[in-house]
Amino acid sequence: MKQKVLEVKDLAISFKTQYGILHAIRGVSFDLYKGETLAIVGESGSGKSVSAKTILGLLAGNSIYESGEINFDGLDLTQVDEEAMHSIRGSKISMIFQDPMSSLNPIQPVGKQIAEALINKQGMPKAMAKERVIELLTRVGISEPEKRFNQYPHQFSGGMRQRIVIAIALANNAEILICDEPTTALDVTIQGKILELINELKLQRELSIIFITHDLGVVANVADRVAVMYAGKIVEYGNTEEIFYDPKHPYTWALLSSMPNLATSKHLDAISGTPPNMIFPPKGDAFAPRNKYAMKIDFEEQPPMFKVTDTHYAATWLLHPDAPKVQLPEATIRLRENRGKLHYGK
Amino acid sequence: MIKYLMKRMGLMFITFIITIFLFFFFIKLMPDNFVPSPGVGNEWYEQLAEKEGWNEPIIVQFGLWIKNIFTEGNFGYSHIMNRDVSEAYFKKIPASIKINIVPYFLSVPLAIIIGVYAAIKKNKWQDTVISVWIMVFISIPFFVVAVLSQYFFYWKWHLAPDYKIATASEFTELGFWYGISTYILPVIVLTVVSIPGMARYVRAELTEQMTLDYMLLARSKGLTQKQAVFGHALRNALVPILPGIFIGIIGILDGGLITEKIFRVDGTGRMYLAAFNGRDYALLMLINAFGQFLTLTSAILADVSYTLFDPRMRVGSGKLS
Amino acid sequence: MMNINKKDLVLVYEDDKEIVDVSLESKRIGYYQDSWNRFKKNKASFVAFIIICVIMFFVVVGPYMRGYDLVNEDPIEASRLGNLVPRIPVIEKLGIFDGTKTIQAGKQFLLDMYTNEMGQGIILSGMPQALIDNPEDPAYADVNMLEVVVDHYKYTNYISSYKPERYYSIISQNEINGTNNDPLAEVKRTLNQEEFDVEIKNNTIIDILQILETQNPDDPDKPFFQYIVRINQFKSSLGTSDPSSVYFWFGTTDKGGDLFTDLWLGARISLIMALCVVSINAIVGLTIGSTVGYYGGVFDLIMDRLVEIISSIPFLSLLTLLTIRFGSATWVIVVAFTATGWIGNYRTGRMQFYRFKNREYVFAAKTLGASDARIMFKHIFPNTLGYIVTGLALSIPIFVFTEATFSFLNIIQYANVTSVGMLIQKGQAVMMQHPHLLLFPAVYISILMIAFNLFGNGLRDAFNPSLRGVE
Repeated sequence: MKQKVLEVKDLAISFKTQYGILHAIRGVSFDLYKGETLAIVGESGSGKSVSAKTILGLLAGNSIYESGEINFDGLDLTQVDEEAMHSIRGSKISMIFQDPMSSLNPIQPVGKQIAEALINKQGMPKAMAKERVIELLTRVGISEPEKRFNQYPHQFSGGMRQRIVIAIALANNAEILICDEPTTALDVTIQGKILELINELKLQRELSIIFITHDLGVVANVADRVAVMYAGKIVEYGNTEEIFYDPKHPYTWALLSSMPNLATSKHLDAISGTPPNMIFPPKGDAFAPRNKYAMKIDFEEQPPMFKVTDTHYAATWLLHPDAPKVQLPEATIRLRENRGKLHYGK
Repeated sequence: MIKYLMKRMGLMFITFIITIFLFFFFIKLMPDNFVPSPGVGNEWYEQLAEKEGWNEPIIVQFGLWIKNIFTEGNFGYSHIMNRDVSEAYFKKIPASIKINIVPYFLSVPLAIIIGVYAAIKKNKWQDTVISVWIMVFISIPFFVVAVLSQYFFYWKWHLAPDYKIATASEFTELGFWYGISTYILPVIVLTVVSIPGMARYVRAELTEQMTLDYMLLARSKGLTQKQAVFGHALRNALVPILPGIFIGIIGILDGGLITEKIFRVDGTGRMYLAAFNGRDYALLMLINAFGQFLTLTSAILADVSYTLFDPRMRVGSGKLS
Repeated sequence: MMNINKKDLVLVYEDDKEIVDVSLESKRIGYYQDSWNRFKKNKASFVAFIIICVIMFFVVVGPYMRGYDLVNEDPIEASRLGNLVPRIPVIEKLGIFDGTKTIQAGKQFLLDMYTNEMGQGIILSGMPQALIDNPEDPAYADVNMLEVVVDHYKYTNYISSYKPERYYSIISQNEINGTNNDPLAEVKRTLNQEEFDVEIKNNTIIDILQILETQNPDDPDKPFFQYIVRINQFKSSLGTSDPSSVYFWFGTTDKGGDLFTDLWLGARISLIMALCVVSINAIVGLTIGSTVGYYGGVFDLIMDRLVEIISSIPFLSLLTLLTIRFGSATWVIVVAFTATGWIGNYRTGRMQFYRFKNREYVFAAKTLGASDARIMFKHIFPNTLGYIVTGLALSIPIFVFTEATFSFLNIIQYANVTSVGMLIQKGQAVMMQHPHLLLFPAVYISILMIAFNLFGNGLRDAFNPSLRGVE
């Protein structure tokens, strides 16, 4: 059994907005094991980023903690004070963000921004910090680190900036790295390199990674396990293989069908309809109105998590023993047929 | 970057020449703008007519005006004061500086502190109080604030020793400390009214900076809220504000008309009003040209300080150096 | 397992039926409706909006509410009613604006007023009882001046119709200097027969001091009579013998004009001018700006230089030179404010059009063959309208502010109208003696400015919800 490093239990967070209380996440639970990558997949607004920011205690001022626990290192992170949270951030848990363009301070040399993490956290003397920064820059693949040390963010390309952000995140040897859509803003060619870097670092440092994305292609490349989120809830989770080749939830089917794929010659199936307004969360299964396989009960009652295997769970009434058997969407079938033929996974 | 600045300065110089020529032209066209002739045979009158070219076309007169500035330091003869205007005018600058300098050096740090405090306490009651105060003092015209403060603090409550500042003779008669104490009211009023504008700017800039992603990264790499605000957001927020602060230094030289009228400061602002009321055209020309000079100098200073504080400007955006 | 109804476990959608996007169930709200809703939610701005409406009401109606125009009909009589303190019905019961005033006057004068019939009820408090009991009270032997609270309306009536404040000082001066100045000169009127008859008819005459007879050259049997009389000032000027029934809400000016009327007249002038200036600036600036922004090119480059030169002309220089040359007619002021004022709108228009012209939807419209004019008016203008309206709403207070400031400095001096700034300037000169002349205009302009700024901020937030809180 792998060592569990982080456990999120029944977490619910809402936001006070002008129009009412927005229920961003409604009871999310997942575990993170040492050295694994857990991908959280979902549309925008499904609550992925909120879950991540909650772990680091970086939610905006209008957020309301409703319930749940985040267990890390013997602490419940939803309950600890700012002081304790501050000692965890950066040195135990770190995060990188979507847009490397805006996540670096534009008017400070990058070297200083990395060194700051070291000086502040470890009380490292300046000269030593600089050495360490140059080491880090080399490690994340930036050439001529001495020269680069004194340059400003706008003098770097997007991919390089993301490397610097990664260097900042890992400067203090964090155990957990949360990646919030780290490649979304990058060119496809650069995406691959950044993912490679993250994978390398993970193996080298036994990092546990929470990888947030809406791109299933990226998930296939990095994840050990996948959690699919919809409307503030996790609807299905399991090993990457299970999610890709034996998905159970109609939303996962829909996601997989909408993924471009070399094997598909047919047009893509977009998911029709719009996600629900989370100020008024629906009574039953939130996905039901968009779900081709929706049943009457989906509109009445939220489905519980049905166990598929020891590692694979899904929240859909279709797994109820009495539910009618449905025809799987073509795309998922084809995916399964082509298993092994296509380059997915590592 | 130096090339850019040189270009800016060149353009500003052209603008400067064109605008002061427009002033000159307009002032010369005033129907009552002439030095009355004291009769034939007055040598000084003819010399002056020769020197300032009163019988020449305006463009030549303008040339002579500039020439006289550089050769003799003469900015034009005022028949109202019977002398060259620059002597009288530049002597008034120290009085204006005296009343402006303390409010400036008080209001800048106070405005930054208040703006930062409001931004950190955004949407809490402290922020609301500050915002209301800012709104009130931005809205009420300065002269109303100044006049009402005179009314209440001097006439009504007798808290101030006088409603105007002491003159030089009062300084000697009534003592130095009395003289200084008359400065307290105007200094407080000037400080109080100059804080809100900048405080609002600081608050707005800082609130915006605090919502940016780099603040999240700064927090997630382990800085406290305080470290992140003061180490990152505040510095970035001040970048667009600093040029304004530098321009303020130049503004000290230029006496405010209202301040000097209300508090009877014998400075450049009052001289402007005197020139206006007395139709002293030579003096008006000097003051307008000098004011224009200060304005454009501030603009250049602002450009320079932008490039000093913002590395993006320094190296040209997006290019590797 | 949960206890669920098995009948619910049936698919609800037909196999091949496509799920289409459901339209939103809310009512369709336009951009402006939405903006209005947001605006209403902003309490401060909404209150400000109501205050502006109230001010507008008074600006339109206020000057006619009092129906008092003595200043223009008879300036000399009016000036005898000058500097009256404010008295407002209802509020007077609270002890403020009740027409009372603390004055200083000679002991003898006050004593006389306290005792004689005409002076009854004028002094409200402050008269020492000892002095009333014994006018020769030795404790007050050295006191010449007394401070008492008076009903300022009655008091003004008394000194302008019966006995001037300087009555006893003139008498004593006559004794000392041996002069023969008439102590009653200030209140004496000389009337001819016709005027006398009118005053008799109106029953305003207090007493007849002297009747002069002069020869009539045409008809020696009918000599001219001149009557030197004292008349009741309030009764002859205002038609009431009871000064306590007179209400000048904001008091009167030094010339005896009603400050309430003058204030709203001044406010009207500055607001009408503000509307003129703002609309000229908007039309000129936006037309040029949007054309330049939309077409760009060489035109843009030339305008850029031109605008830089024009905008570098300081407003103060422009205003002073224009007023020196052309005087302070309202049109001069409007010219001064518009000569460089359109630059701001020009920049807004240019920037907005430049920004929107590269939007995809504009390209789409172009591809569909829309003309330039149609694109500008149908597709770009509505998008920039919110921004522009906000700018205009905020530039009204800026005009009022600036105009008042320069009126205050006497750089703007209208010949036949009085602006609010001029009122404040006059008030400042006499703020010690007649504070109401300063306070009312000052409070008016402060409220107006705050209301307009709050209103403008509310508009901006309503039109640009994303800017909320970032000022």
